[in-house]
Amino acid sequence: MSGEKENKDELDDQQMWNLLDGLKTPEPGSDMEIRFQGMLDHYKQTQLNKRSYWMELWTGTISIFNYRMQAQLAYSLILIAFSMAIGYSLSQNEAIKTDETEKLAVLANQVDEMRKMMVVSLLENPSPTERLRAVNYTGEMDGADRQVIAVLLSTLNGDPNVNVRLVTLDALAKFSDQPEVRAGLIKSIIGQESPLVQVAMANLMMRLQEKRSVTPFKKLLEQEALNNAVRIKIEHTIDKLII
Amino acid sequence: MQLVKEGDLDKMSLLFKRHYRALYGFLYHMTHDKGDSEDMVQNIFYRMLKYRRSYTGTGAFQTWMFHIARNVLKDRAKKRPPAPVSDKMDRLTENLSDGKTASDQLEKTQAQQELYRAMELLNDEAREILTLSKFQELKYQDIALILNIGEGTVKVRVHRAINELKNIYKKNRLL
Repeated sequence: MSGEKENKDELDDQQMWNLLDGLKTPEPGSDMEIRFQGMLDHYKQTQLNKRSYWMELWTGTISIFNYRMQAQLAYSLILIAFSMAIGYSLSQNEAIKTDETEKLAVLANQVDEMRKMMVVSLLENPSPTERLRAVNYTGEMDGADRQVIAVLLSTLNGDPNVNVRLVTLDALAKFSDQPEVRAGLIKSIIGQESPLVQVAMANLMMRLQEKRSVTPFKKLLEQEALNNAVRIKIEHTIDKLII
Repeated sequence: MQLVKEGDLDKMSLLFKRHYRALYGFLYHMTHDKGDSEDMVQNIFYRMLKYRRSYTGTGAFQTWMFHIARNVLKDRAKKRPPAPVSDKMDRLTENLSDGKTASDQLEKTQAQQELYRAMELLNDEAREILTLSKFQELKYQDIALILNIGEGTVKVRVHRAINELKNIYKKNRLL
């Protein structure tokens, strides 16, 4: 017994190390590879689904931009570029001022062109809110070219939404110094059916002192279905204009 | 692994075939639980797939694999308290009793049980370094990379671990 104890005491590191050889690792389960393959296949499928989800999300986002926000986005980017150009030009010295002024003029022109494109494009949008926004953009323009005026007049005459027509009338009033705008407004009087627009037209013509509007107003008075309040308003307008 | 990282996920099967036994051995010697070790092997390979982009390719694949394995072991330890040694010994007896004659088995099982018990009583750090060094037969240099310590420290820790094991083993046999 004491000898055995001695032997145990004498157990050195190497022997201990060798003893560990007796500790065998049991065989892993035979289905481990099958389980792994199943997990791998499932993972691959999940990755595919995830990829197609992101693709769909991306395509959806792009389509939103295409249909609703592309023009606004481009417009915003142009404005940012324009503002940066102004900041940059202001920081330059006097020597290059002339050159920068020319560049600024070109940029300003481009922004204006962009706005015009925006207005034309948005006025075709089925949403009244977008069309209202389009009309409001014209307020930021220095002047309106034939194309914009034509589109605005077309909106005034044909837009199904009364609010859009009213805002368009206000927008056109800002360009009333242009003969084609005045002519268009006068021509539009007879076609207006909404009492609100008819009254707004009467107010505008009064403000512009546009005597040529008397004839279409008189024709409007011939309509039996004309709203009584509007009738009084038009008669009053005619009286003031022919004085 | 580089190919897996680049998207060829089927190459993971090849890596699994090559390494799963070694990985299982490491986990088994750390936990003495067959079922858990098998589950953890699957978990580790799943993590390798999931985090394949974090594989830098600068070190050996094995080093990266053992890094993940150690994390999985840590997570397991956090999730549940260690099983009592008696439970582990029951499982151990069960694992060792495959296909041996009764008397041989009894003697061998007893000796092995004492050794296993000693391993069980070792602290995790010592058991880990002995497992990597003895059962995985890794070089000190590779162990140093896995444990993120110097090669000299590995030598010291292996020596200390074997001493500690020896003391526990002797103490158990004298009881």
